This record gives sequence, structure tokens and C-alpha cells, in this order.
Amino acid sequence: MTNFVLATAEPKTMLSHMALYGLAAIVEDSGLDDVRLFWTGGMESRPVLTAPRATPETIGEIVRAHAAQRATPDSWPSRAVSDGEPRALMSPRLSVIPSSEGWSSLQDRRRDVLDRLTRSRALLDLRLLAALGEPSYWSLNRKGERFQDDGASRLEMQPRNQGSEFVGNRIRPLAAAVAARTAAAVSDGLLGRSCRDEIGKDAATSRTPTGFASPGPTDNALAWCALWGISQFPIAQRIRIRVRGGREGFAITTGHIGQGTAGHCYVPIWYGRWRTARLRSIVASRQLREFAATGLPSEEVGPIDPTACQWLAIRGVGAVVRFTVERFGSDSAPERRAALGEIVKTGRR
Amino acid sequence: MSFAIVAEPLLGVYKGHIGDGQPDPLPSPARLHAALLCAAAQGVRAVAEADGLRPCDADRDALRWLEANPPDGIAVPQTLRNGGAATAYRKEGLVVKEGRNPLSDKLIGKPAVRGVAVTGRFAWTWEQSPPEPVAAALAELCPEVPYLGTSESPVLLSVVDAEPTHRLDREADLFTGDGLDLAVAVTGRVDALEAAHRAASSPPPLKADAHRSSERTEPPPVATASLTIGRYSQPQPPPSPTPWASALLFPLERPIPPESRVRCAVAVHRTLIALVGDGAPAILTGVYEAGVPRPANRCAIQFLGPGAPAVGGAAAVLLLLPREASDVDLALIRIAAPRLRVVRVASGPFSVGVPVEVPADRFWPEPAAGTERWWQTDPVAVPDTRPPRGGRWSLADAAALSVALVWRQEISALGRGDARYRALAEAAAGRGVRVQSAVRVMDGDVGRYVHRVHPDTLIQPYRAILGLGDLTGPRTIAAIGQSRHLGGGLLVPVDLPADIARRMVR
Repeated sequence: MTNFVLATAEPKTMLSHMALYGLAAIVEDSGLDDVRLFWTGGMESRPVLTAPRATPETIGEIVRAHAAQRATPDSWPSRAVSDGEPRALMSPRLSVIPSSEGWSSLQDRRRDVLDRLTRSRALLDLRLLAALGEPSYWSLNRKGERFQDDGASRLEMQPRNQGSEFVGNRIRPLAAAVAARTAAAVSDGLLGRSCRDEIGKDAATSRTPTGFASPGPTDNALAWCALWGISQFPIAQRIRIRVRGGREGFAITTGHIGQGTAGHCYVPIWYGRWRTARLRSIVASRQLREFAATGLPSEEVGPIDPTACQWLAIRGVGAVVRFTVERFGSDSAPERRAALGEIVKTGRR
Repeated sequence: MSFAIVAEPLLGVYKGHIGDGQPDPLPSPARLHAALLCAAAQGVRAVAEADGLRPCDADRDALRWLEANPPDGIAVPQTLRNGGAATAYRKEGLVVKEGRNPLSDKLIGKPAVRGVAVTGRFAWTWEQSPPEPVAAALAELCPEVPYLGTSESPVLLSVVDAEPTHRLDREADLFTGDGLDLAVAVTGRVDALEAAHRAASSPPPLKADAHRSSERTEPPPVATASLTIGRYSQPQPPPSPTPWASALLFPLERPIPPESRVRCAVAVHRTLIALVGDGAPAILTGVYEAGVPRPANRCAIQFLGPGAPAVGGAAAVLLLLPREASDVDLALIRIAAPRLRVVRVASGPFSVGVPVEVPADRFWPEPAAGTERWWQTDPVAVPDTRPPRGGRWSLADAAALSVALVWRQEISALGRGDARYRALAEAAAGRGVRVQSAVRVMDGDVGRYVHRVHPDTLIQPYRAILGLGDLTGPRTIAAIGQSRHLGGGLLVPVDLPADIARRMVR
């Protein structure tokens, strides 16, 4: 077994977790055998990907090729909403689509992409698109106004000011930046040996982390993996609207508790070596969600199962890291950001 | 020789923020280090360099010593977090184009830094005093620090004596255990902070400094290089007192087989009483006047086979002296004990050697690395009571009840009779007592495992493996059950591999 340690990924930053999940999903999707994930012990815990062939060269090349494939003009991130309209088709949050022709065109084009991905068995791409969600035509308020953003994953935290959107302003430039690197430069960035923020110009206020960490220079390969980490957090769409105590129509996102655009994100920390399938089943579990709400005001999170802690401990979950989602900037296009995590321990060991 | 830096919050409040403005519950060692560096670089001890100031060499050495030697302990006073979310509106000195007036001041509301109210002083302590020049530099530097955290929480920093409330745990794991996880500066922190300061205070190039239509205040980046996390945890509470204070260990020439231990113990008991003579203490005889309160445990006589992981490896007979006995009673027994030479039993006399006294909490060897100490009843234990009425009652419950009766000083339960027995067994489980693989012993004459019982009582000798939770340390000698005073129910260590033990705890 070769260990691939994400040396700059520390557990209190959500970016670290997402990067690990995304990296594992990418290398597993590329066909690398027997990929497992674990966290090292001690006070300086770091996430590790381990596999018989997890050498820096192999992994760097896999991630580079993965990005390069998504940077080609006929890949799904490159598709535009319509001809002459550069916004990306597959973004879950877009500026308002007023006409019904606009909606049907959007839907046709989206279905075309999904059909093509299905035919080519691009499972990870489909998983990411399903997890990201889509502009919701079905969520209306009492006046009949549409809440387009309610169909999007809460983990997609790209601010929507000045027409920016997730795929066009994050996935596309990151894919290009990672594809332009050498395999060695990609693995160096992941391993923490170097930190190059091409799309953020290495600025102190670089928004490359896209809400998974405070602004700052972030290695683009790491950020690329982190955005693909969203693929491990499926969503459930809802139509129901409840006015008392806030709307309830938005998609329920795995790994997010609370209402609307604030709330908390959470991820598990486990002992032992997990495959990504194991990770997905635990991340999506009701028990993890309820345990992650430990200590939060109950009107925010609903009833909590007291046996959830034991259920998790039996499955090797040692702690949950919970991130408060803070809102910054204007109210109309707030910038959301996962704050430094708080460790909630299950008391295992 | 210990050494401590003490911070007294002058306004009774500590305000600081970490990350994206979350309130900091208490000043970490890294914050102390940063405050001292700031004082060294800008206070009266700073020396001129180019057109600025820099820390003098003595201060730099002192800060480097701090990096190499994180505080061994910290003292945290009682604090109360301010729960309310307040917004602070400030004119940022920028101009916005929005609004009617084309030159309106930008007034921005931001979450105010919340504070914690503090009763008392913070302290960072070291068990070893630093070298003389370092100690002198720190003592000079401390009064130079105006505040910790934001400037709204002024402090008085000084080098005086202090006792830590939390100690640095160097073996800690981030995701288990309790304690305060605090940022600690490590080697290179001074350089990282100085570099960050240089970067933040150097004037930007003219182009970057130009006016833009949308201005935003940008906080300087937080320097996170050369920081690590230290776990400061409160010391473990002292282990609870052992039921027996010490054991007199008499070597034996030949081991006593398990089935004749009760008989031999009775013989040793009689011989000892005879040696003490008239007025033998009740703690030894077990005969109490009516109305006299009875202690949980009396003198117990137990045997160790040659296989037991005991002292020396030879067979031995033990006289366990109870903790609750009075000094006079114990003195009488200690005087009589060395005169015990020959014990007469029906199967033939056996002789015992000169006794040595071993403290009860250091009797057994330490558990092997990677294992957890569990206990096995040797040879068998006998329940103290008949099964209480009303509900399920297993051998495991009986064993837990026996443990609770031995540690009666530690475990208390309300109620009377059966209800109390159930409550005691439950309370023992609450202290982490776990009973595994309890099996009844079906062995010809069960009467050989008890000395004297009520004629109607059903005797159920059993073998069990049990964990004692936090009741006692791993080296304590104890015995449980009805026959614990005369040759039964001795708890002999069983070291289980940690992962197996963990599975059994579930």
C-alpha cells in the first residue's frame, strides 16, 4: 500500500475533507484499485488516500487527465445555456430565466448532456451533476414568484453577484488551470509541497476555496478535487412550501443541516480505512445528520435520535466536524463560507 | 522549579477572534507568543533597524525558547461566553457611489467581536524554569504587553507563581478525549509573523493603490504557519480508594488446590484469631455485636496459585487488610501475623513463610502494552444475595451487585431490599463495570466454595470475566462475592488485547 497524504489538509477546514473525498472519487473513477481513506492519529491529524498504486506520479496524472478531459470544448462544463450566452448550462444556480421557452430550452439542453454522459457511462460526472442539483422551476412562493435557487446543493457556495455561477466561474477555470499543469505539479499541490493559485492569482483575497475555507491562496488542484467532493453528497428535491418559520421548499442536501442559506455543514471522521462507498453510505445516513445536530437549538434541526452516537461509534466514526455556514457581503448575493470546524466526538475509544 | 506567565484581564473580559471572526474562548499559547513578539518589536525594548524597529536579540532568544518549549500547563479561570450576536456599524473611511449623495461614507455593519467574561487570571506555566537570560527577558517583556486579543481586552501580564488547571497532554488524539485544543507556536513562528507583518505593512505598488469604483476593506491574512495544536486536559482525578488497603503476603511451600481453598482459608482464619488471642478485632473475626455498623469489607484471606501473575511466582496466602479498619485493630493483626507458622487442616498441616506487606493498589503488575486489564474470578465467585424479585436478573447482574457491595463507599443507591440491589447493580454498570462470559460452575459439592450460608440459600458459584470501569486502578487487588473474605472470588488480572476489550464494552 502506498500512502498519499494531503499534508496541508487540516481537519478543521471543510476544504480538506472535500478535497479528500473528491480526490478519492476521481482516482477511483479512473480505475485505480483498492482505494481507501483514513485519518492519521495524534493532534496533527491528516487525511490519507491509500492504494497499492497511489504514487504521486500516478495520482498527479489521473487528476490532471481528469481536469483536462473536462476542459475540452465538448465536455459538459464547456456547454453554455444557449448560443451566444456564455453562462454554463449545468450550473445549479443561474440568473432568472423569465420565459417558458427559456426553461424548455434549458431542460432540453440539460437532458442532452445527461443522456450523453449516461451513454458514455461517466458515472462520476453524473454523480456530481445529481448532487449539484438544477435551477428549480417548481419552487414558488405564495405570490407565484419562482425560487430558482432552491434546487441547488447547499454545498455549492459560489456567490451569485455580477452574473457569476458555479460551473462557468469555478469548474471551467479550475479545469483549465489543472489541465495546464504537469502531473508532478498537480501531485505537489495535493501533497502540500507547493501552493499555486492560478485562477485566484495567488491573491490574499482569492475566492478559489468557494466557501469551503476562508479566502486565501488555495492550490488549484486541491480546490478542483474539493469541488468534485460535492459528488459524494446527494440531494433530495422537495416541492412543499411552509411559510411558518421559513420556507421549506429547497433541496435537502446531505452534509447540511438547518434552513436556507445558513445552517451547518458536517463531515465524519472515522477510524480504520474506508472505501468511498462506505463513506457515501455514512455521510448520507440519518444517524450522522442527527448526531451532527448535537448541541444545536432543536427548533433549527428537529428531533434527535439519542442512539445515533452509538450507531456511529459502532461503525467506526470517532467524531463529526461541524462547520457553521457564515454569510458575508450583501443580502441579495451573499457570500457563504464554512467557518472553522467544531469537533463533536462520539466518544469512541 | 516552576515558572509562570500570568495575565490579569483588567476589565474582566477577554475578547479575541479566530478564523472568520468566531469568538475565541481563551487566549492560546500562540496568542501569548504573538503578543510578546508584538511587545518586543514595538515596545521600549525594541531596537532601531533601518527606518523601523525590531526585537532585541535577548527578546528574540526568549521567543525562540517559547517556541521550543510550549507551556506545560495553563490555568483557566471561570469564563462565561457572551451569547448575543451584536452588529458593529463602522464608517470604514471609504466612499460609495450608491445612494443620492455621490460621496457618501461607507457604513458597514459587521458582527461585533464577542467576548467572554472572566473571573480570575489566565496563566501559562512551565515545570522547568527557563534559562536565566530567557526568564529575565520574559519578565521584562511581560509588562510591555497592553492587551491580549482585541485592544478592548487590556491585560496586565507578569511573571509570578501560578498553579495550572490543565496540563499539556503530549499523547493526545484530536478526535478523542477531552480537553482544550489550543494553538501553540512552534519553531519558525517568529519568522512567519515577522514576514506577515512586513507583507502587511509594506506600501502597495502605486497601481494597486489606485482608486477603484468598488472598494472593500480587506483584513490582512491570518498567518497560520508554524502553528500546531496542543491538547491541555485536566488531570485525572485520583483513583478511588481501594477496598483493602494492603495485603500481607505469606509464601507457601505448596499451592492449595482451588476446591480446598475455603477450608484452608477457614483454618488460617482460626489460627490467626487464636494468635491474636482474646479480644480479637471484629474486623478479623467477622463477629459484630448487635447494632454495631458493619463495614463493607473485613480482613480477607485469599490464595494465589503458582500460575497467578503474582509477586515472585510462588504460591502464597494473602491476608487483605480492609481500608475501613481502625489503626488499633490493624496493629493487633500486624503483630500477630508474623507468628503464623503452621496451619492445621484435615488434609494435613501446611506451613507458611514470613509475610511481606504489599500496598493493595500496587499489587498486580502493570497491564502489558496494547492490552486492557480485565479480571477473572479465581477460583469462583458466589453471589451475595438471592436473585431479587420482579424482573430479569442474570449472573452478570449478580456479579455487578457484588462489585457494588465491595465498593460500597464509592457506589451508593437508594431504596431498600430488592430495589436497592437492582439500583446497586445498575450504578456499578454506570461506573463502567462490565461482566462478560459469566458461567455457573456445576461442580460436585458447591459447598466447598462457601464457608457458611443460610440453609435455604441456593449457592451458585460462577466464573466470570469483568471490567471494573473507573472504580479502581489496573493494579489493585480485590475480591468479590459472598465468599470474598474466605478464599473465594479473588479478582485475578486478565489482559485482553485492546480491540477485543473494546468490542466487549459495546
